[in-house]
Amino acid sequence: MKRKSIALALALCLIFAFAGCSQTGTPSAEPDTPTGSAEPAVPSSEALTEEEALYKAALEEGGVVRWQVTADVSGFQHLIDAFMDRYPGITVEAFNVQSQTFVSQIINESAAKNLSADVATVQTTEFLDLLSSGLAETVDWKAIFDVSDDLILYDGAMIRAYDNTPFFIYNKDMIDIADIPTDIDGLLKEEWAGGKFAVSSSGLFAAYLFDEYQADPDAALDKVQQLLDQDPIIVGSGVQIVESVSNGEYAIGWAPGPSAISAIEAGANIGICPFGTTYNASVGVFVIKDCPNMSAAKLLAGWLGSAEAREVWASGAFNIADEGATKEALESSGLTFVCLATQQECTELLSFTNKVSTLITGLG
Amino acid sequence: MTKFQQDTGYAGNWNVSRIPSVIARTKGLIAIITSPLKRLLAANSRKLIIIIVSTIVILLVIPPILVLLFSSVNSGKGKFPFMDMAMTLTNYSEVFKDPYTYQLLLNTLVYIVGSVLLTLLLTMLFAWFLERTNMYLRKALFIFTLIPMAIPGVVTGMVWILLLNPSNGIINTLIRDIFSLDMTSGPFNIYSMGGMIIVSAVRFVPLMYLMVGGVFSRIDPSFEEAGKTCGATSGTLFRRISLPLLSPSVFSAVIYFIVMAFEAFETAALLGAPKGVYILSTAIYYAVHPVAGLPNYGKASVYSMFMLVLALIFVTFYRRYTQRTDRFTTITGKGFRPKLIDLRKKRWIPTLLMSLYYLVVVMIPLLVLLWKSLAPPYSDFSLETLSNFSFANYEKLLSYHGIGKAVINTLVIGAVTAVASMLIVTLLSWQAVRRKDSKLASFAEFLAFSVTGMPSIVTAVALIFIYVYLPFGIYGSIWIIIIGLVTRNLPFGVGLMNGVFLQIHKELEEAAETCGASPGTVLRKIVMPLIMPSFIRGMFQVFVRSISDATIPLMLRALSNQTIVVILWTIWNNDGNYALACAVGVPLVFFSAAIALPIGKYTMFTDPKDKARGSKSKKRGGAL
Repeated sequence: MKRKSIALALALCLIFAFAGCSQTGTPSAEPDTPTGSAEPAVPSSEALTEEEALYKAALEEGGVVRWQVTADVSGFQHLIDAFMDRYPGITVEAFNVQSQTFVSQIINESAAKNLSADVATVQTTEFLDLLSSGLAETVDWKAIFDVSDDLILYDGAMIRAYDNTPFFIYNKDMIDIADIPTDIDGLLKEEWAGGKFAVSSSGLFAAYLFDEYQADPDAALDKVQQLLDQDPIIVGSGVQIVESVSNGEYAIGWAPGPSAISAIEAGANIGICPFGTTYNASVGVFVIKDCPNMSAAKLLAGWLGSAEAREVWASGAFNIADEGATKEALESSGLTFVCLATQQECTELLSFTNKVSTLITGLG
Repeated sequence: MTKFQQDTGYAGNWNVSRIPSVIARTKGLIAIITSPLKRLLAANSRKLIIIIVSTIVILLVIPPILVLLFSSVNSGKGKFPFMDMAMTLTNYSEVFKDPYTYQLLLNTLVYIVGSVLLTLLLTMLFAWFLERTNMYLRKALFIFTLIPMAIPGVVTGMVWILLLNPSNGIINTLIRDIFSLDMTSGPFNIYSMGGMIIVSAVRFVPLMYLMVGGVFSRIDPSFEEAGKTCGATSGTLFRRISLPLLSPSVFSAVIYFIVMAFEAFETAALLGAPKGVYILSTAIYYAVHPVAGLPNYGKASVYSMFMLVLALIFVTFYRRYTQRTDRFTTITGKGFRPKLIDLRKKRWIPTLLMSLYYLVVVMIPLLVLLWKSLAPPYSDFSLETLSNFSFANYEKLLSYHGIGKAVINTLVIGAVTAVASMLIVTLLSWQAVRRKDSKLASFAEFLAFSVTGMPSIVTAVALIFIYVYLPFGIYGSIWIIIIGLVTRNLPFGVGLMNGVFLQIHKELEEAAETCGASPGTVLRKIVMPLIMPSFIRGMFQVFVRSISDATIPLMLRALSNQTIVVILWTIWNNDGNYALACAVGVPLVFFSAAIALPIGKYTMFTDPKDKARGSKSKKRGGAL
């Protein structure tokens, strides 16, 4: 019995020891991502530029920065690698949480003073909620990283990173391009009723009707209701629609462009529907107020907006509408993309998509 | 000068031979100081145990309820409770004025009634086949009955989407092909209330079977023999004799599953939300994690209060009902051996029916899960895909960000929850059963049982409100998940251990105490050895429940506390990578099954005398 008691006590100790190891509330947690092999070249303290001072401070902080991204981390790996090459000794811990889910997560974690990210990536529309809650750090990005003016949003609280360039995609095996509607009104026809296409519950698909909303909000919302009366499949995230259209679950679905482009590159048998003009807000990066790794966070966010990083962005699927793969995809499908970058436009779009989301879910 | 003197600066006359006497004196001094304390502890150790364990239970249960109540009249959209102390009924008036609330309540009602009725129907049928007839392959089919229990809810939902989504669900496609139906979708649609009900029933059947299956086998055969002598058929015997005898146990199981259906989240979120069919649990989730706009904590709190009040009503009803089941004492464990009904030439019928059922609800889903995990991304179910099978998804999984940490988190959360829950409930049950005069222990036991009426999603919302304000970084760590899971496992543990303590006569403990043993010694040398098998079985059951749970880890997730189920949810919903999600699901199912199935088998195929004693435990909620 004594031996059993000792064994039980040992087991308890082990469990608690493991638990202690697994909990990483501190920013200097051991990263999953391997660090760069090069020794960190810590700049000397004399005549440091602001960027060098940030780098030095970031190394002293612990050399870790946690970045929340809105899709599979592998889509951002080239950026992470380039950043870690540029700043040896700084490790990026990236993780994927859906943009809107992360908004509520940041609000909770900020209240608990236990943030799990330093840099976050959210839609400019969703960012408004965080901006109004005072959860974004404002930085003079132009002075430190020479970030282009058109990429700096909300007076330095956010940097435009990429455009979601949403478009409807179709499964090439299930439907011929000739049978696809050429605009969103085409989806109101009877042949598209009864769960034939998919949209996301965020309501962002309705951005296609943004110009109509600006002209006559009631008419636009009425059209959204007609669209919903067609009984589409409502999916939690646009990324999931890419998979579902690719595997033939739905013939047509609204999808965020970067994920669709990644899927096409990976061999998915999908195409882009020629649906006229698509509107959307951008996706931006920002530094979370009072994050534990502030210097490293500024270094990462600022670098992501720098000219050097723009070239790296352009080589992947996530980029702004007039760059790289997104530009090619839009041009080849004959789509026009209007990016809403001003605060007023974003506020209007947010108001519209929130109303659409309430129409979809009933959960206002 | 010795080296010691050099190092320490100690200049005294150092003599090694004095060490034992110094130690002895120190010990004596400590003994003088601590002996009154020890005597005090020895004299009051039982009281101390009651106070400590009751305080833990009270702290786990009462604050969340109070915080939710306060939050429902204090918080709002984007506003946590306690940010100011102003109180308002605005949240309630908004919820009551919103017509969608009534739709929500109606959906919840339909879902609960549908899933519980279907579960009951299937369970009764299977229990009668397995426990009362001499059908072929009884033991093999019994194991199949338990398998769905080992499949986490998220995985079950995923697999049924692959099987029965209206467009390319495998079963739908097969039916359309076989019957040459001229339709591009259907005939079945898993994204519906019907889909939610069926999938939930598939998950509930094993649990309900574990609750009522044993009672079937204990029906006194003399009643049936009497009926048979009077010329009653098997159907009449079941309807007129077996059913009335079973009704107390079945009714208590029904009430229990009503509460279970109340808190079902994963199935409703995966299958209902895509068609806008929300129930209370999913509405709470989306109020805290909205698809657009700021979290509405006020609305989440009001919905939580709805759930809490309704579930607690059913729990009170359940508790009262199960305490009075000794009125129906025709089912006993004494003096008979269950006699199986001879189906003669029809023995193959139940075997065939149950085999078909398990083919559809167990074998095909598991094969689909395996298939999808081995197939390339974006591939369909064709022979061509079969030739492209590889372990690429598993390889990708190994390099998926945070997977290693999630595995460790899952195991640690499971282990700590299992140990902590069972230690708390063992001490609580021990005192509650033995010290019936202790009002504190009885109150704590009542609270622990009442947690049945506190759904996981409600517990999680309350924990968010509490721990965002408390220091030590509990919010965002694995500890907040452990606290939530320990709380949720209290009723299960109390039910199990109450039954165990009722079976051990207190004479053994009294004899030890008469010989001068302290309560601690009694616990270590008498109680623990006797209860150890049940304690360990309970630990494993809590472990499986904890690693499979999605609601609490999802609601309380952060970067550092992600579990495997949260990663699975992220891969399915955020990454939209079904193949990778299935690669997570396969090892998870096998791991859960490896633990859950032997426990389930052990639970059912124990000594008939132990089974018979189980009726006592029912009186104190032992069925949980």
